[in-house]
Amino acid sequence: MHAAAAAPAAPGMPEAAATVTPAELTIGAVATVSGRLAGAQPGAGAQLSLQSEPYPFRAYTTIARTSVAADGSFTFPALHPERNTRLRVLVEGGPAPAGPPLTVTVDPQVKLSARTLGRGQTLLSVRIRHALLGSQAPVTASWYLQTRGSHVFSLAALTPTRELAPGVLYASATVDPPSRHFAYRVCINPAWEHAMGARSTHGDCPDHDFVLEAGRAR
Amino acid sequence: MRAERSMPARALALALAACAACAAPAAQALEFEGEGRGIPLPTYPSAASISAAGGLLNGRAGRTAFAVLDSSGHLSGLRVHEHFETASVVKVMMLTAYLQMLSAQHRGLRTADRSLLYPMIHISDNEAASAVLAIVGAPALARVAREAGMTDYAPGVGWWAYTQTSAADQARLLFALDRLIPARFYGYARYLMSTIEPSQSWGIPPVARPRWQVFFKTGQLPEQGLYNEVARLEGHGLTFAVAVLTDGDPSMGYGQQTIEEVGARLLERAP
Repeated sequence: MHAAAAAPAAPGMPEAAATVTPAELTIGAVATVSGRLAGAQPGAGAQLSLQSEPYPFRAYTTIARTSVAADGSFTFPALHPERNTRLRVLVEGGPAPAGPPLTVTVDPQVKLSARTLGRGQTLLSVRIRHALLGSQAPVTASWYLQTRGSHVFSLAALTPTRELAPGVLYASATVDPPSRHFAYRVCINPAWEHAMGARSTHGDCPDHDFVLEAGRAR
Repeated sequence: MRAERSMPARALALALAACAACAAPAAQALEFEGEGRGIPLPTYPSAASISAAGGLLNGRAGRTAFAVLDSSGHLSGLRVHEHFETASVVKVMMLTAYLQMLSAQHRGLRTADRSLLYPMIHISDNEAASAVLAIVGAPALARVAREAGMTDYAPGVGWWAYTQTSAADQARLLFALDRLIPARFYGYARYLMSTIEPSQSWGIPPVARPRWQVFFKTGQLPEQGLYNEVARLEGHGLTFAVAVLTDGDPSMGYGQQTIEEVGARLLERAP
């Protein structure tokens, strides 16, 4: 999956058609911007700059430069975006492109664990590597349990999160398992929520039991 | 046993379940799903105990019903949806609605609030209850009913004590108290419902204590032989709710004995 953008060229100016691959990745993974320069004055050696505008999308800054190859292609060095980021490619000396930017959606890296402690006690935990942005203060993790065969996730526990290290959130809860095999969900609304993931993943955690909407359940 | 997995954030479309705060648009949130294994605690009370309580109730005079929402959240009982008048057990709904109102107003408990809520629960003061209802309004009780998943609720005609309910509704309400009452006030609600004056602590508390923490409310309309009790019991890592409703009892003592014996049947086996 990739995102593409082509800046409409001004008369007489070359045009950089660029893509970013992948367009959505997990924090820590690599994205690459590449493309082709076309237009009135293409050619080897033309200088391009890559500008980045990470969330909260206030200003572009140049993060890399590269030269156009003889065939008009170009590739920038690999990127390691840590939050949702907009990108654009500029022909040096030219105006800023007017078209839509490339976008990279960065998801947190999540590790879930469930461990049986004994009868009536299962330790659930979540560790999330996330963007270093905003307050690192504890928030509430909401834990929901689903009995196998049921569609209802029942709110079972509310526990505080903590930062194990900068950019690493951890939360746990000890619950009475509803059955020997069960599914669980953990929901948080951290300060960095809007800096990561697709917009559709943002919103308040339910403060009550819920069922997954038909057709959307995994 | 251990299960681990990694996954990206994913959007979830959530639909409503039991409560009606849930009437808000379906939310989406930063939420992750995993699978677990474990050894559940045995469900309490047992099916045998619930059956014994039902057998006992069938042999009692008058109109009777009871419901248990067991520690696994399953509903059972006898005539669980039969309609009864609440009498004073409706004061638990009033308490819930009042505390929700305080939370919505972003304010804490003041002396004036306590001077209504404490007598309403501790000695089942009817004037305090009427004042509370006047403050929160009837729609607030209906909202609590929706949020608790009470399907048999209907407002009282002429007097709040005539509020219509069922054993299933009351068990659902008591089971859901920790969810319905705002967290900052939940301790106060538990205090009120566990320190009711002795003369009104009949029925389940005497047979449950001290093995169980009992949060309860009794209600009565002696002129029609109506005696009700609703209780939330916690202990041994378990929580369950019981509602016993009776009408047409030959005497107050008879009604109270019926409820006490139902409690005894439910609790006779240790968890």
